Amino acid sequence: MIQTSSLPTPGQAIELAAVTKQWGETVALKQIDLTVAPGTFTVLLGPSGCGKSTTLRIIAGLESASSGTVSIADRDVTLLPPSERDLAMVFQSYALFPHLSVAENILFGLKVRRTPKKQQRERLLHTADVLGLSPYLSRKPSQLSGGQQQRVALGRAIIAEKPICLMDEPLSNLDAKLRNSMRMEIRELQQTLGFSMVYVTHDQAEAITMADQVVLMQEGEIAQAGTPREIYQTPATIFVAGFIGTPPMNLIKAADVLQATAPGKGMEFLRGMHDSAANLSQSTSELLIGIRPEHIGTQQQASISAKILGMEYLGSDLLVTCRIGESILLARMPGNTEIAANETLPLVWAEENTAWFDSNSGARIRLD
Amino acid sequence: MAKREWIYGWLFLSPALIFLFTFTHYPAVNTIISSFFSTPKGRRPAKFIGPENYQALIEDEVFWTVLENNFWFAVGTIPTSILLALAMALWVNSQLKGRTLARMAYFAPTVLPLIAVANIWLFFYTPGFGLIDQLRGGLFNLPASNLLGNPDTVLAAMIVVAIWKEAGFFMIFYLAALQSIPPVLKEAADVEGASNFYYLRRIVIPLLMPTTLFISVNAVINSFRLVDHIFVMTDGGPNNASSLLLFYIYETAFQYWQTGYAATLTVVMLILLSILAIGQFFLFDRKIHYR
Repeated sequence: MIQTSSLPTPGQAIELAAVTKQWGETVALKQIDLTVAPGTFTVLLGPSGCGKSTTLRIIAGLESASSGTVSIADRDVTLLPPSERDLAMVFQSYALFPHLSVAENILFGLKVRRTPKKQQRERLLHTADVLGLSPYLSRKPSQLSGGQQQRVALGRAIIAEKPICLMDEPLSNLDAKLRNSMRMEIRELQQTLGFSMVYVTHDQAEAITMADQVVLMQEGEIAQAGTPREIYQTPATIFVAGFIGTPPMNLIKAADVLQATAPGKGMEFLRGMHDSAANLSQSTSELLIGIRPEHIGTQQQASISAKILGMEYLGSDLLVTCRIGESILLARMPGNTEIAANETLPLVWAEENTAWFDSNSGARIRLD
Repeated sequence: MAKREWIYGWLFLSPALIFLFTFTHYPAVNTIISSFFSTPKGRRPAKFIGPENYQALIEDEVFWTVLENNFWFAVGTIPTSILLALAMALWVNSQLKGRTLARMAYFAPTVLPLIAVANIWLFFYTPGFGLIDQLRGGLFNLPASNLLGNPDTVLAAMIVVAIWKEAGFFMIFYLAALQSIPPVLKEAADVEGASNFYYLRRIVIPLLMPTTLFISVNAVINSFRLVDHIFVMTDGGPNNASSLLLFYIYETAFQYWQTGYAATLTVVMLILLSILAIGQFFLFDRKIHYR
């Protein structure tokens, strides 16, 4: 959809070392260490108030770190203003200048830096072409739809071909359909132009689909950083397990599961895993089993019996809420599965999909 | 049902309508009519005299002096008070210690009754022992001055009082407008490397244009309307050097009791103000972006 002929801008690396941010008594960020490789797409993900926007604003220089250092391309920029960090930013509210036309908005940065008129003109036409804004250049932002305003904000960010682009929830004001297509366009734009991207969102679908690196944050700390696959397949803590996935991973008491397991019907591995996990955790706290809803199946001969509490038919899928002991869990089965309500459901899942967590520390117990 | 809605509509409109008609429209029309009549006296009622009052006006030297005074008064107060208001608003809108106090201090002249404050200014200007002469004598050893008694300086002295009164009032409007500009625009400009001055010139001032229009229309009206301090401080003197149009109208109507001629003067003032206000709307209209 997006074609551009210009040479890719070499992206630059960003590094945060032990960055802390405090406002009086309130601690927003606690010792954040973060590396963004040149030319990659990093998404800062987390619930509201987790510090992701603050982190982005510290990278931008709109907020200063209370302690720690920020480096861009191995240059310490901790004390530099935003304009000297050679980056572009897209704001959640787009921050378009309401009295300027689309063209003037996109050209704002080039005009500030007194780029030659001819070059301004060329770049404007090119950028407008890339973003499909050519027919609207003389309009005011208020005469555009939300999606078009969003593109103008993108245009202002990419026209100067800065090595770094920061985005603060740029899609949150768009409707779901537009959000999906913009997501792909932004990713494509980043790949073609080759800049380093730091992107803040609370929407995990955005994070999973766009990112090279997902950084999941929780209460001012990084809960886990890794590729979307790593984050999804091997969540490092209970928080990550419970945040990623729709619906997220089931976290159920190991004791309940063991109690409901009849011997000799395919789930014997649980007891062995439980013993090794208990050894490794070396604490008396309770163990939790993490299992993704889509990894739970049903079989006549399966050994864990669960009581069905409710069912939700979604067409392609069937979401079954059931109870094992005191724990409630959600299973996602194929839509054509026939289950009678009020039935006891025999459940089964594979050994490699079973994760173990320490309920006290919240950490994952790695058995391998 | 439709009929009842009609009644409700007029009922809701009536309070404003009654007051507007009683105190604005009826007097205005009546003034225009009166300007073509002679002044009624005890024994002979007002009689129609056609444009005679207007002929008298053209030949009235005091009228032309007063009009000229008013022109210089407007030129002296309007741009300065608007610029000062903008500067003060920008200042008290910034991160500043005790900015609530600063805002209050700037707004105080608006709250204080001008009649009372004029007395304080009168003391500042008093020859010999007033504040200004104390400073002049004490610091520079200059002789005593009579700013209010000299036809060359009295209008300037009045202009200073008016600016002092007006700037704080206009500042509040600018302050409100500044606070409606989202701070994220400043951040976006910062990321692009725009200096504070560039941001002010290209973003803030254009976004303040609707407020500037509102303020400038008000400033023009006030430059004709604001005469309280003239009553207290100079009474239009010396030799009409500080008399303004509205003050002259008051004198004509309520001291000389020439109500017919006063009505004529009022009509001239209304026409002047209308032309100026309409002119301003046309002048500004193309440059204004309304959100």
